[in-house]
Amino acid sequence: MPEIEPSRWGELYDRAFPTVYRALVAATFDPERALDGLHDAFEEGLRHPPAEDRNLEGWLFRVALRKTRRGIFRSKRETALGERAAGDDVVTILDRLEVGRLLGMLTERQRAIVVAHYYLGLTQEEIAAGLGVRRGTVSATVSQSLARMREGGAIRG
Amino acid sequence: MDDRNKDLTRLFVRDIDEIPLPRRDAWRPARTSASAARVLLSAGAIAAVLAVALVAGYALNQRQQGAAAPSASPTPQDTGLPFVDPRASATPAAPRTPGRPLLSDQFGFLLQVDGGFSIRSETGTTIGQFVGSAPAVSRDGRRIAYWQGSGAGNELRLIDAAKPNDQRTLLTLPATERGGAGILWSPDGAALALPIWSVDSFEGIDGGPKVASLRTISVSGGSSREVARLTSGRVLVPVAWDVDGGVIGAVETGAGGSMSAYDVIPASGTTLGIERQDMQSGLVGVQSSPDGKQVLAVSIYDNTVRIWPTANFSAAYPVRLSTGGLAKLTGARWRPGSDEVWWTRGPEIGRFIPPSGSLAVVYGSAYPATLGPFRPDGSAVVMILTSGSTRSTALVDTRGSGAGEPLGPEPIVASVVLR
Repeated sequence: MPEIEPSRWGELYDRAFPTVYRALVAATFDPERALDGLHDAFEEGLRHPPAEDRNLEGWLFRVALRKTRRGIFRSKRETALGERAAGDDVVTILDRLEVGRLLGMLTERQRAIVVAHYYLGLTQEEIAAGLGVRRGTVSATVSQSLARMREGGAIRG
Repeated sequence: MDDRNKDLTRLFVRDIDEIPLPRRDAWRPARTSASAARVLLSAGAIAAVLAVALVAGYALNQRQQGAAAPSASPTPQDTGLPFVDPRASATPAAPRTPGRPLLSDQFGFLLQVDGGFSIRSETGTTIGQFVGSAPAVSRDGRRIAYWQGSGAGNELRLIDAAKPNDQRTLLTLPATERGGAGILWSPDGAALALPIWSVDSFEGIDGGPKVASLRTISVSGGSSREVARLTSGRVLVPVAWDVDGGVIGAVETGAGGSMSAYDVIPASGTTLGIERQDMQSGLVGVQSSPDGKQVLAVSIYDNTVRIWPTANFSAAYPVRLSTGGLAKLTGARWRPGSDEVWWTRGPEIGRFIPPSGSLAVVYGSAYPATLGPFRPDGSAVVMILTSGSTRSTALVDTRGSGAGEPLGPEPIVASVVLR
């Protein structure tokens, strides 16, 4: 498969931006980190374009996650929704959504995996490969996340 | 992919697609500094807050403008609410002239704050704070029940919204049990329905509690009574209590909050009388009418509001909103003290009176709008507008005065009555 030409990179990036940005916001609850990560991923793509344009959303999501300033998977302290600053606008935007309430029960790491699976449609193998964890870890995280969401009973409007 | 995974995927796509995007020119890294971009975001937030006050006030001040009342029935009923053409009000031309002040220290909000909850009057006076989980406000807005702690053996506490420091413990669970989210008040405020789960749970991806029960307890004291029990790993969440009919409506939920069945449970605890009916997938936002006799949910697949009697899910009927093109229905709420259901879709907020009353848009703007909680007497509602990546809230008069006042940024859980 030929590598993506830099001249075409911008077009593909713009096409994928809405989906990946929203996935990153849902995972981080932080639009600034999401945008920062995507900007870094854009520049990474200019320097080292992905090998192919298949599943570009997955590539951008993975690279942007790594590029976020604190880095979800390097974060020393994972943050649940209730621990975030009360004035965070995105928290309150998400709070009005059914999924926002579900995601609010999870840690950032859990959110990233659940969003990658249920929103971006990545398989557990793709998530494991992209995020540098074992497939069993992805499977267990999805399982734990679903159990936590269920126990939270976040179905009320 | 099984049905549960499909449901979750649809739910995730539907809701996450609602997250607003940044301005188009911010998608790629700019040569300007990041701090400059954040100044722009802050300016956008301030503008949005101002817009709430202006747009809400302007919109609700406009009486009988345009023909914005696409009707679900040929017999529209006038409830005195202002009718606003959303297209006409998208760009407010002038600020409103407020009448009497809307914000009152008679009412307040239950707010989610770091580490717990805070009760604050609409005028900004902090009444008190408490730490707990799953708070539920009584229909009259005066009392709050919640679980103290979030793990095994927690306690059911009861407080007066006006005096949150005076706490009363109604029930203490053993270490083998925990209280679940979804405490339900009976409409008359005399009793509570409690989801209670065993700490011991099944293993695996659907590993719910081995025992999930629904109990009732009088707020005047005494022991709790089990009225239903599941051992399937699913849990029971009470959604409506028809006191006259003597039944509680509850949904059975599994992993991810997906609902599989609606149960009609005799409140007397006659477990043999439980009626279980399968629910179609895609129903969200289940909630009771103020009198507990009806239940509504938003059906995300066909963009309708479904309504059914608490005692009979099979009698559910859809209300299809004919305005708004392809915009997705994002929520529906009963207005306390009335027969009205208020709904939100895209930038529109409207109301109808089931089963066949008038259907009208009562508010519209250029911003996606949703409804927060109503005041317990239905006289005002929290309105939430999003613009770009910012969000702003306002309290809006529902009785037609046109008043709208911006509110603070804290997530509002419920509205309460303080005196």
